[in-house]
Amino acid sequence: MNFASLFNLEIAYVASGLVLLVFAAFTLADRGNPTRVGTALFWCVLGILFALGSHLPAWLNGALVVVLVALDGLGKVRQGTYREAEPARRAASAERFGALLFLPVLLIPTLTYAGTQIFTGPGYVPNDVLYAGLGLSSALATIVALVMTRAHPVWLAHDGRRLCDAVGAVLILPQLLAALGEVFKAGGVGKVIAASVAAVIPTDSLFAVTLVCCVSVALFTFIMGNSFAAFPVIMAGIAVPLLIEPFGINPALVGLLILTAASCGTLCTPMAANFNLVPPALLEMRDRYGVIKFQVPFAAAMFTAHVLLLWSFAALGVV
Amino acid sequence: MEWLRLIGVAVVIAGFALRLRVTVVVLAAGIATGLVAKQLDGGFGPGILATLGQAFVNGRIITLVVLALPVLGLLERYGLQEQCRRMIQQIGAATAGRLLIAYHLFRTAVVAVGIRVSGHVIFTRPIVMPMALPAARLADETDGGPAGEERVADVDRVKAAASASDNYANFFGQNLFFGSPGVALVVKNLADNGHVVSALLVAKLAIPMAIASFLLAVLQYSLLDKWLRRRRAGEGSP
Repeated sequence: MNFASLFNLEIAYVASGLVLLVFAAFTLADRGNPTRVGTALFWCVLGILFALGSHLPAWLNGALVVVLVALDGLGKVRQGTYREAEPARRAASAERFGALLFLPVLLIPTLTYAGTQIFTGPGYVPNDVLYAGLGLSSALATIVALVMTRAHPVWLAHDGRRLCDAVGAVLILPQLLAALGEVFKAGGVGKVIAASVAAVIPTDSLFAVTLVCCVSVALFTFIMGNSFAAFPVIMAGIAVPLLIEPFGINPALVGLLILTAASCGTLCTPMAANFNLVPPALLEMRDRYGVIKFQVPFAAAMFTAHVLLLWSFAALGVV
Repeated sequence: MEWLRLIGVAVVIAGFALRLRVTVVVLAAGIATGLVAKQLDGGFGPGILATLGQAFVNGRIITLVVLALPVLGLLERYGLQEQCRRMIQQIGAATAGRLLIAYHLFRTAVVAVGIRVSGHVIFTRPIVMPMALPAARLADETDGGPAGEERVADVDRVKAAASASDNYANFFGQNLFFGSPGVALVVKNLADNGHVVSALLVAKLAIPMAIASFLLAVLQYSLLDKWLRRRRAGEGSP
C-alpha cells in the first residue's frame, strides 16, 4: 500500500494557514493588544499566503508580502494578553506531570524520523515525507497533549498565539530572506560577486575558496548581526559557483557549514543584540560587552574548526 | 555597470547596520535588486512583485514550525518551562564550570528536539546564574574597595560565561533538529540553486560542529574554573 498522498505538503500549508487564521481571529478579540487590528491583519494575511498561496496569482502573493512588511514597518504587530496560567499553577502542574510533559514534544521529531525511515521508495519524495510528516506529528502531539492534560482545546489558540506573538513579525524573516536569495539569483547578484572574488583569489585552490567562503559569511554576519541574512548572499555569490559546482562538493555539507560558520560571526558582534547585549542587561553585568569578550576566543576556535572541517571533508570526499 | 546589481547587498548591509526594521530592509533590498536588473536586462522575469510573491510562497516549509506552536504553548501552560528548571536545579555541580558544561548538554538537548525558547530569559537569569555564582563561591552583592573591585570582575565573568553557554549550545545545536528553520533555509536555498539535498542529511552534518562546540566549551569552562580557583586562593580566606 502506498501512502504517498498522505505526505502532501499542500495539506501542511493549508493546516498552517488555518492555524494562523485562528490566531488572527483571537487577536482581533484581544482588547489587551494596543494594535489588535493590525496584529490580527498580519496573521490573517500570512494565513492566506499559507492556505491559498499555491492558487493565488504570483503578483497578488507579492502584494500580500508587501502588506505584511508594511504592517510590521508601521509597528502594528504587537503582543496582547493571553490569559496565562499563574506561576504557582504551572509549578504545581510541573510537579504533577514531571518529565511526562516532554512526551508530546518528543513525539514530533521521533514520529517524523520514523516516517522518513518507513515511507521510502517509489512515489515518496524524502523531503516531502519529512516536512509533511512534521505537520502530521505536530497534530498527533497536540492530540496526545490534550488527552494527557484534559485541557480545553481553546487553550491551544491562546497559547499558540502567545508564542507566535512573542516572536512577532520576525517569524517570517527566515522565509523572507530565502525569498530574497531567489530574487538575488534572478537579478544576477551571484555572478557579479563570483566574478569579483575570482579576480582576487586563486579559484582553483580548494583551501583558498573554502577560507574565503567562511571568512566572508562570518564577516557579513558580524556587520549585519544575522546569519540568515548573510547566508543567501554568500551561497549565491561564492559557495555555489566557486565551491560546490567546480569542485563537486556535497552541497548539503557546504550549506550547513556555511550557516554555522556564520554563527561564529554572530558570537562576536554587538549587532546581534538579543544574544550578546540583552543578556548583560538581563544579568545586571557591569561590562556591556562582557558576553562578547568571553565568546570571542571560543568563536575564533570554532571558526578555525569550520574551515578545517569543510576543507578536509571536501578534499577527502567524506560526504 | 554590472556592479550596480549588488545594490540589494548594500541595502541589506546598510539597513541592518542602521538597525532599521529588518523585514522592511529585506523587502527594500529585493525591490532594489529587481529594479536594477530590470534596467540592465530590459526586464525582470515575470515582474518584481510576482517573483517576490512566488519566492515567498515557495519558502513556506521554513515557517511550518507554526504547526507545533499550539502544542508547545499548551505544554508551557502545564509547566514545561518549570519542569526544565527543575531538571537544571537537580544538576549537582561542584564548580561553576562543571555546572555550565551540564547546562550546555541540557540546552543542546532542548533545542535539538525542536523546543525554541529564549534561554537567557527563562533559564540563564532565573536558574543558571543563581546556581553558578555560589558554585564559584561568589555573591551578586559586592561592596567597594580593592578586593570588592576584583570580586565584581569575577562575578561579571561568571555571568558572561553563563550567557555564553546558552548561545553556544543554541547556535551549534539547533540544526540537529531536522525541522529547524536553519535546515529548511539550507535545503530551500540549495534547491533554488539547482541542488536537491535531503533535510535529514543536512541535520546529520550538524553533528560534528555540535560536538566541537561542546569540547571547546568544556575547555573554556575548565579554564574558567582554574582562573576562579587562583583568584580565590590569592584572596586568602577572611
